[in-house]
Parts: sequence; C-alpha cells; structure tokens
Amino acid sequence: MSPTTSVISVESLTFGYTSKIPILKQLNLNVPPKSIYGFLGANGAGKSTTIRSILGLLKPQSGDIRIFGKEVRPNRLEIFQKVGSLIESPSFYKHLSAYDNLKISCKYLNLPFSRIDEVLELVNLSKHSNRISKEYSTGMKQRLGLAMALLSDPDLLILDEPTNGLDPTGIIEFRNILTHLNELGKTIFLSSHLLSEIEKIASQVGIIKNGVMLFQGTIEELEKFRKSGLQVNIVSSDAMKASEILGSRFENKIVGTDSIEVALEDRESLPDIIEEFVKKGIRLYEVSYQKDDLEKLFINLTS
Amino acid sequence: MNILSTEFLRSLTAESYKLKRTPILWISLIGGVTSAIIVFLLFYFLIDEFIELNKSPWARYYQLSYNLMSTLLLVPYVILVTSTIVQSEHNSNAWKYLYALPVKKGNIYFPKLIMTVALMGLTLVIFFLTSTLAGYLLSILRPEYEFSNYPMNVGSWISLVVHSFVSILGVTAIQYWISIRWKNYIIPIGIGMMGFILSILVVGEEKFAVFLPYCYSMFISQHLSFEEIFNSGVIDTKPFLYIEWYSIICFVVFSAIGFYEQKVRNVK
Repeated sequence: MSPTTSVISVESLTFGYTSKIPILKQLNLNVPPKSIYGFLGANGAGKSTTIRSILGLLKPQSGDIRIFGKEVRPNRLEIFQKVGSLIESPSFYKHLSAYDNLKISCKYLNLPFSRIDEVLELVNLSKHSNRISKEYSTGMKQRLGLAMALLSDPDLLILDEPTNGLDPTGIIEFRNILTHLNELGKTIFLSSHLLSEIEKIASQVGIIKNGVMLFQGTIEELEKFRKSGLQVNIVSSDAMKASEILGSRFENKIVGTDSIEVALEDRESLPDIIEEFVKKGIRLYEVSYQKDDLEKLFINLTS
Repeated sequence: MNILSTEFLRSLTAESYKLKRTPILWISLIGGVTSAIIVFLLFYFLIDEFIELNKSPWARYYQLSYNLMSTLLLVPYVILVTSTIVQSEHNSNAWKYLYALPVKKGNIYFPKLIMTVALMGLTLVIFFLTSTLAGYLLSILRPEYEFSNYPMNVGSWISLVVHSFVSILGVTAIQYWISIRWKNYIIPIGIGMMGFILSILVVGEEKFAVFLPYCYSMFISQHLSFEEIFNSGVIDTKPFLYIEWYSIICFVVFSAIGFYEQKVRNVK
C-alpha cells in the first residue's frame, strides 16, 4: 500500500532515548483506511514507543511518519483535529467527574458541551457522568479515556493497550464499542500484548518484537502463515528410536521420556511416518496435532 | 492572531475548570487572609508594643502586614501553589494527552502559567482587601490610638501590594519551569525551599541578593520606609525598582526556557 492511501504510514522509523540504544529499528507500518489494525507485541517490544512517535510525542532519530498522508510533526495541529488517542493509562483529572473532564477537553477542542452527552452515551458512561472519576472502576476509567479520544469525532483512533486491566466483561464491552465505531467508518489502531484480544477484532495485524516489525498483513494472511507448518506430538514406547528413524528427514525433538515433536510440511507425510514406526516395532500410544493456534504462533514470533 | 488568542482564552478557561474541587483556591484565600488576621490580632491585643506616640499608626500597621506577607508567606506560597497546579497534570498523566491535541504547545504552557500568576494576584488582592478591612476595623475598635488623625493612604497600600506582585514574577516562572520539568514534586519544593532559606541569609547583602529571585520580595520590603510613605503618600522606588525589572526579566527568560524545553522534549 502506498503511503498516500494509508491512514498511518511509518517508514524506517528508528528511535532511542539515547542514540546508542535504539528501541525501534527501521520500523515500517501501514494502516489501511477504515481498518482495525491490531499492533501486537510483548511488554517492552516497543509498542508504546511506536505510538508515541506516531503522535509526535517522541522525536525519532530517523524515519518518516505520516497520518492521512501528511508528515506528523510539522502538521500536528491539522492532523490532530481528526485523531483521537488513548495512550496507556488514560489522562484525566481524578478529582473531577467524567463530565467535568470532558468539559475541559471540549474547551481545548473548541466543541460545544452538547457533544459530551453524545460520547458518554457512546461509551456507556452516562449514568456515572457526575461521579468523581477517582471512584471509577478500571473499565470505567478506560471508557472515560475513550470518550475523551472520541470527543472530536475523529477519523482515526489510536489506542494503546485500551483493554489493559479490564475484566472479561469489560473487555467484551470495550470490543463491542470499537467494532461499532469501526462500522461508523473510523480507522482504529490499537495495541495489545494479547493476541486473543486482537484476533477477535482486528482486520490487520502488525507484530513487533524488540523494536522490529516481524509480521504485517491481514488476519487471513496471519492465519495462512500459521497453517504453513504443522507440529505433531507422538507418544510411543521408544522415543529415542523414533527420533533416530526420522533422522534428518523431519525436524524433530524428544520431549519428556516418551514423546517426540515432529515438524511436518504437510499432513500427507503423517500416515507414512506412522506406518514406518509400526513396521519398526515402535508401539504408538498417541498421535496428536500440537495446539498451534495464534497464541502459540505469537509466542513463536515474539519469544 | 485572532485564532491564536481565542485558543489561548479557551485554554485558560480549561485551566479554570481544572481548579474545581482542588484546594488551590482555598490555599489562595488562606494565603491572603492569614497575614491580615495575624496582624490584626497582634495589634488588637498588643497595640502598645507597636505604636509610637506622634507617629502614624497606619505606617506601623502596614509595615508589619507587608513584612509578614513578603518576607515569610509569599515565596513559600508561590512554591506551594505552582507545584500543586503542575503536579495535578503529572498525576493525571495529562501531558501525553494535551500534546496530542490540536492545540499549539504554547497555548498549553502559557495559559497554565498565566493561571498560576493570576492566583498569586488573587492572593494579593485578598491580602489587600482583608488587611485594609482589618486596619479599618482596628481604627474603630481602638479609637484611642488616633488612627483617624493620620491618613490611611489606601492608594499607597495598593501600590505596595503591586510592587510585591511584580517582585514574585521571577520566582514564579522558575518554580513553574522546574515543577513541569520534574515529575517528582519533592524536587521543585526542595529547590524552592532552599532558595527561600538562602534568601533569608543573603537579603542583607545586595550584591548577592540581586542574583536570587527568591529574595526579591523580601529585599523590597527591607528597602521601604513606611513612615515616610504613609505620611507623604509617596513611595521612593529608587532603592528597589531595578530589582523589579530583574524579576520581570527573570520571568520572561525562565518562561521562555521552560517553554522551549516543553516544545522539544520527548513526552514519555
């Protein structure tokens, strides 16, 4: 995708608080319009740093960062009219109610106070709008942060770990809100360290590790990538012998006392292997596909 | 220019909303009233200790009020209010939100500074009003000390308070800068208190005092002749006017340094 059609495009982004220790290394990232882009990485992989760089809060050593096709730092006033952000723990004044916090944001954004009720409705916080936000649950705090991000009716939402610390109900609620917003035509860029979170909602995925982008593509491409290799676990009477038989033809390793893990290119080779084992007198107790879901891939990709 | 100024005003309004439910307005009020109450009580109960025969009782009254305010209360108050206002942004993790808004960084930084300065002004206005009122009350309650034989000179009193206001501008900008720079509020309070204590030590040494903005309000109060002021209604500003210019220069310079640093820093 060319940079002009991407909502967010990042090219060769390098950043470090000191130039000797880069946190982000030549990072590329493209967020297509109207997508939900899941930005995955373990804690410390560089997600927040990437997001802060995108928002112009950090000054990168090198690289090109564009939102709506325009370079961010020189055009921040224009771009931020249409961008709402929630970075890690939400930024609100704890001694004030949700309503009063949004009043402050309205003043900064030059919006009428009538907009406050609309966003509170959108994030299901209307009932609690006059309570002091200090007393809110984690989920309500996140939703208040989201309300603040939504106030200007932005085309792009940038959310850093928005579901962090939420209970399952809160996560589902938050996800529903995001899906709804996406249906309204908003592009959503959200980061998480939980793959299970992203795969349920995102159409695009980017996976970062140690400041390097490991994978970027649609969720289908990620799925395909995952299916390209199979892991089989075989429990037998003689794991050592089984491993010898497979030799270098199939990559394998002995696990525990009686089982081996075998990597297969496709499933057609499995019956052949079983037949061979039986012929050589190895008794098979269990043959199973390794649970190789996205979660596992994520571990493979990022650990 | 118009857009700039309306954005500035909106931002200033936002700052005023942030004060709701905070102790800041109370601190301002208390800061202004304290001195008037203390001086009133001292005069009411121990008036013979303060007033000399055939001299303006107003001069003594205002001298004590002014010295108490500008020597002991004002600078610690500046340190306290500035740290409290800025700390609320640190506590709310607000910087990353504020700097990702479509608002010029100057219209985040300066309205807050102006709000801080305005609060100092508010405290001094309250100080002016309450001390004038208390003085008036004293003249009624203690008619035997002949307050009415001498001019109250409210005009001079206003100008003295204004001089006091100008003298703390420099230290306000310094405290504002370091309060924003360091998230840990112990640092601005520690530096501020150190500056304050140091200023008590050097206030008598003009060649050192001029380099220490924490010292300016104290310095001015030591170079005023209240007897003369309240007899003639004229303030001789010659001995200290240059200190006020230093205060203004200090305000401009440290505001600029602080803003520049905000503009280029990485917002973590």
